[in-house]
Amino acid sequence: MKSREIFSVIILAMGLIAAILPGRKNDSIQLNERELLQEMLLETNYISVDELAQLLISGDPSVQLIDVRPISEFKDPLPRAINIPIDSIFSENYAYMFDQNIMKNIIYGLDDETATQVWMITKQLGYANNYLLKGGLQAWKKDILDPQYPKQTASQDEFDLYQKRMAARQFFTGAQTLPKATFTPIAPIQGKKKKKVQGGCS
Amino acid sequence: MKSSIKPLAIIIISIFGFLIIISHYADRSKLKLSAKEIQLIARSTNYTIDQKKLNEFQNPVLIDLREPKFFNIDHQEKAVNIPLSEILNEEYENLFASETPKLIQAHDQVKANEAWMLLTQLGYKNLYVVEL
Repeated sequence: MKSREIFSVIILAMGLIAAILPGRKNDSIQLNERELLQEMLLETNYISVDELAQLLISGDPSVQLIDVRPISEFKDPLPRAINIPIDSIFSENYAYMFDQNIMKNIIYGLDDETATQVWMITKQLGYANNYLLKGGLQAWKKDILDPQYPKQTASQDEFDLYQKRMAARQFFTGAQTLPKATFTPIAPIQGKKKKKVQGGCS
Repeated sequence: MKSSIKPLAIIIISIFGFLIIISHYADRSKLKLSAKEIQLIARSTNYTIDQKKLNEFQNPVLIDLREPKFFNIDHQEKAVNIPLSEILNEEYENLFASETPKLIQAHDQVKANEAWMLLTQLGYKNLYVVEL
């Protein structure tokens, strides 16, 4: 009977020691630096403006756009975007938006800086389903809302991309005219045919 | 009764020892700041600098995060090539820990900003991102 008592005392002591064992220093850090670097290098964590345009046009209901600009600068957002300024990402009203498994959060700002900060914080906390829009609103305006006509020497792919972007522009701005971009391969210069000598004495 | 408790005690104690050893080695994160701290620091520091202001720094180290194949084609004078994937290698620790201003460059701003966030998290100071 005695050995049982000793045993239970030992187990109790071990439990106490386990409770004070040094755990992680920061409980809010879920990933260590190497895991974070892996996430940074993973291309699927990023989304380009062209991919975003395609997602929005297809009407994917799981896409949730998150605009991280300050409230004072929040105007002309992307379609159906919600505004969560970087200062309030931990506030009760918004924190749950980042830590969920239903929606596909696409984080963007005016440029890359603020959006990258928010994205890194969500990654560090180990939240899934957060993506970063490369180039932010500036790239969106430049490439989708006002695409540049490709140079005459551009490749077929660039003309196709331009066509796609113009179609996306029409979708998002309601612009009516759709200038045609046709790819005309530069034909080799043909030498003049020699004319047959005509006439002359006979 | 005695005989049935002894092996059990040995198993439990050995499992406990194993746990203590594991907790010592596994999953030691070197990140120094919590998410809220890094949020505050990122908001309050203005770490992006213009290309033109590069001369204002004394003996800066220009760090190029691109892959070597792009770095070899063309890079700025005196730039050091540290590909983003190797940024945590031990050989660069001294460089990051030094006091000299370290200017980060990458071929897109996302990567440079991420590297800034990661290195700041690790406790390194005097880091800047060069605007393209």
